[in-house]
Amino acid sequence: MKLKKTVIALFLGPAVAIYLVIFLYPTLRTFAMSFYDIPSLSSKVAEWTFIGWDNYATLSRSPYFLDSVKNVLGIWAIGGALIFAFAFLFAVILTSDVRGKGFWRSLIFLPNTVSAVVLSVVWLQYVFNSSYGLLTTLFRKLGLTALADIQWTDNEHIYYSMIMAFSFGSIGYFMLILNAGIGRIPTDYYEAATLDGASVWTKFIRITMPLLRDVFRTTLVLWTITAFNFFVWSATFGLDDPHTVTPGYYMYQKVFGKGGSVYLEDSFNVGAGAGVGILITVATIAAAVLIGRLFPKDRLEY
Amino acid sequence: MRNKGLRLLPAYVPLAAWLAFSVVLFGWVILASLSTTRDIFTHSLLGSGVQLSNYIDLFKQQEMGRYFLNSIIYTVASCAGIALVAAPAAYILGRVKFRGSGFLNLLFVSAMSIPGILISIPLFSLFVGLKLTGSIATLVLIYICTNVPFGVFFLTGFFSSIPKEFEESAAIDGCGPIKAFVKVILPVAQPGIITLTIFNFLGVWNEYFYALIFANDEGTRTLALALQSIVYGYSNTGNYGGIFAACMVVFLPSFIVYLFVSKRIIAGITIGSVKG
Repeated sequence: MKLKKTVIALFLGPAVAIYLVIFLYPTLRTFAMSFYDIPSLSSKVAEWTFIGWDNYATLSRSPYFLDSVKNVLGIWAIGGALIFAFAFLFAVILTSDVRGKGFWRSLIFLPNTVSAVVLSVVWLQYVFNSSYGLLTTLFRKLGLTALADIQWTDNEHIYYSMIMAFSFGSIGYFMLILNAGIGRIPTDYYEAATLDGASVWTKFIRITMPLLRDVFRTTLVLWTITAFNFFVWSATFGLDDPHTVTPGYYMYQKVFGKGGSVYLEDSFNVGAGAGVGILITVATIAAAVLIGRLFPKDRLEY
Repeated sequence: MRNKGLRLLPAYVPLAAWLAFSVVLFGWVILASLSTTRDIFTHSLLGSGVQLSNYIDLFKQQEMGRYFLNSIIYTVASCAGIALVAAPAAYILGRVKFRGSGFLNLLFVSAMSIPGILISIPLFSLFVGLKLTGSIATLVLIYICTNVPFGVFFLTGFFSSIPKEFEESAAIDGCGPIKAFVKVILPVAQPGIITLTIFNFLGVWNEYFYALIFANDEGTRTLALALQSIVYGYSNTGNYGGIFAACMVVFLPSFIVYLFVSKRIIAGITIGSVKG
């Protein structure tokens, strides 16, 4: 179809303008900022001092930043294992002959639609509560006093508790994508395997997994993007606890945090905060490329 | 048949476990929100009868009503704005062949993977420079802008699947391109716009990061941020019934919407994943 150039410009203009002003310009500016010493958020460009790679060098020496990197990698690995284990389990179950698939899908996706603040409060104040909480009540009824006495939100446990609570809220989305992927695999493969006497497990390993490689790669990239940008739960569940701080939250504390947060480092400036943003983006792109290499595009057609 | 049911039994166990956990979780919170703090700690929910006072206090003493209204304004204005900007752009990208359309498609897709953390610092300086902080309009503008790329991406598919006869007949009736878009194409693309708006509704209602940066004061706070500060205050004074009531006030609107539209949401995610 052909339209006059003016009409095209009129229809596309606002969206393109938004792309330039809200996405392209800030990305480039953040990149530039990461090479400057910038005393405060409202500093004019004239007040910036070029310092080369110093911000990155500062970050690489900051124990708080390095701990936050460790935290985020742990979230990626542990949370990823939890989410994918459950997402795969439910995705496979919901492609079998169980009844009420629509209901089950909606139910498992439900936590994804709940505000992170609500989910955090419910887990912190109910599930993990040490006097009337779900876990302690349940374990006490079962007579497992050692488990019932665990303080889920103390220094030692809060990181793992956060990953557990966060994963519960994320399984549904990955389950839906995997479920759709499995649904596209032709049923004759499974029928033939069933005739040959293959077990459910064999069918999963020999048919589902290999044919799902493309979908799995996509979901793994999506998870990596989500995990590397982990922020909200550090704020809503971790509540400034240093054990739950990720690079994204570290940046927020440093740049936007009110009244200078828990641990002040004099050397920190807004430019270093911009550096954190750049590092997260570079790490995400590198991970996506690496995942693409590990799981090359499938040549199988079906 | 009976045999088949037995064979599927192991498949129902994890599903039933998830259902039981969800029911206990949300059921307990609803009951706790209607109980006194003493009832919660003595394991006797609703022991002193159904208490609505937790909810009444939230609206009388904590101005929950104002934050509720704020969140409604943020959500409605943002959803409308996103559709208004994204639909015409997606229409062009989905139906008109011109030089650079592939490149523009790529731009919007790449914008979707630019993290909020990366762009937040210059955006904040930009809005401070324009003296745009501290009002409801600021966050609305942020929500519209940051969600347009996904909106364009999502709707392009819908527009490209509409047969071109629709515009041809509109042209024969003497409609110009803008009139044809509004009168003929938009009604046909309505299901796509509705699904997009549902996604945006849930996204904006539950949004946290930009709200924390751009709207964290008394007048402009969103419901989710208000919940966090109310919970902080209540846990210091030990008002646990109030904490769970506050959770319900934030949870219920999105839950009610989800009850009606969960099929559409799930179909939207499934279609997106198969195409992508």
